[in-house]
Amino acid sequence: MEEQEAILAQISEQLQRWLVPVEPPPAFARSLKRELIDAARRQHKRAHRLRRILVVGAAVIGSVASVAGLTAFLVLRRRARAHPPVAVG
Amino acid sequence: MFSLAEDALGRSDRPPSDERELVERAKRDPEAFGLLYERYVAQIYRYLYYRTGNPQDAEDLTARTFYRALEHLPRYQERGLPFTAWLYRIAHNIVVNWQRDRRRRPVIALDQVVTRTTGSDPQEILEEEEERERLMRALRALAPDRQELLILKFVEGMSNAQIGAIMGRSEGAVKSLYHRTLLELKRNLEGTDGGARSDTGPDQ
Repeated sequence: MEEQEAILAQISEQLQRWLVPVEPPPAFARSLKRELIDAARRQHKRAHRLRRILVVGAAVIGSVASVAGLTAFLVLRRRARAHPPVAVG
Repeated sequence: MFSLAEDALGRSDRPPSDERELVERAKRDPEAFGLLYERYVAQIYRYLYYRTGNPQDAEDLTARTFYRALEHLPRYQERGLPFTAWLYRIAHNIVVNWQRDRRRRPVIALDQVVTRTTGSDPQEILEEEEERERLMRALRALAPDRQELLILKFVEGMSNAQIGAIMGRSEGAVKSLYHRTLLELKRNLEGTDGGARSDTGPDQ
């Protein structure tokens, strides 16, 4: 048991020794940062455009629905006045 | 689940508020995403370097990880875990898919080896390189979550609690997994080729 623990401690020491921190090459890190920021800008623009389309679309749909509702109301009212309900009895 | 309590030194594993603010800003501001990237690129690169075994693939997968993070960031919600837990999860998924798709064994070219040799004697250097190669082969034969544990522990120097926060396990579970991982690594090192592919699946 003690022998096994000693072996595990030795492996742990090896890991400590060989798993050393490495750094990304600076040129790679810089270039990726630029590309990501550009991609983020494009993504934001797309999202902004989509939001605007949704808002304008919702406004158009809302306006059309209002006009259609008002037209329907006026048409129904005119029909109701042209043909008043006849009293039964 | 487990609680992300403060440790004996008063350090908390909860994400610091400046990290939360930066993440929220990065959802709206591309420059803030650049700052977020700068903060974590080295960690993710190191993780992928040791998972893939070569710098070219580590660069490629680091780029893929951050592009995916950028794509999914608007839907990211902080749930008490560090932001790195989310990034490591993306990197982990990307490396697992990469290994499955390419079906290739990781190779470290001799000129790319990170060396930390102590002696100047060529024989001694050669022996140290062989020891390192054996260890790396044995490490990469481990299940992905076990490799992740060793990288976070030894490369990033994280505590068991911090590793637990990233891997979604309790501190005790990480400790136990670490012990089992060392035992498996020992078996791999004792193997004839120094590390046949482990048949033990990832620990859940």
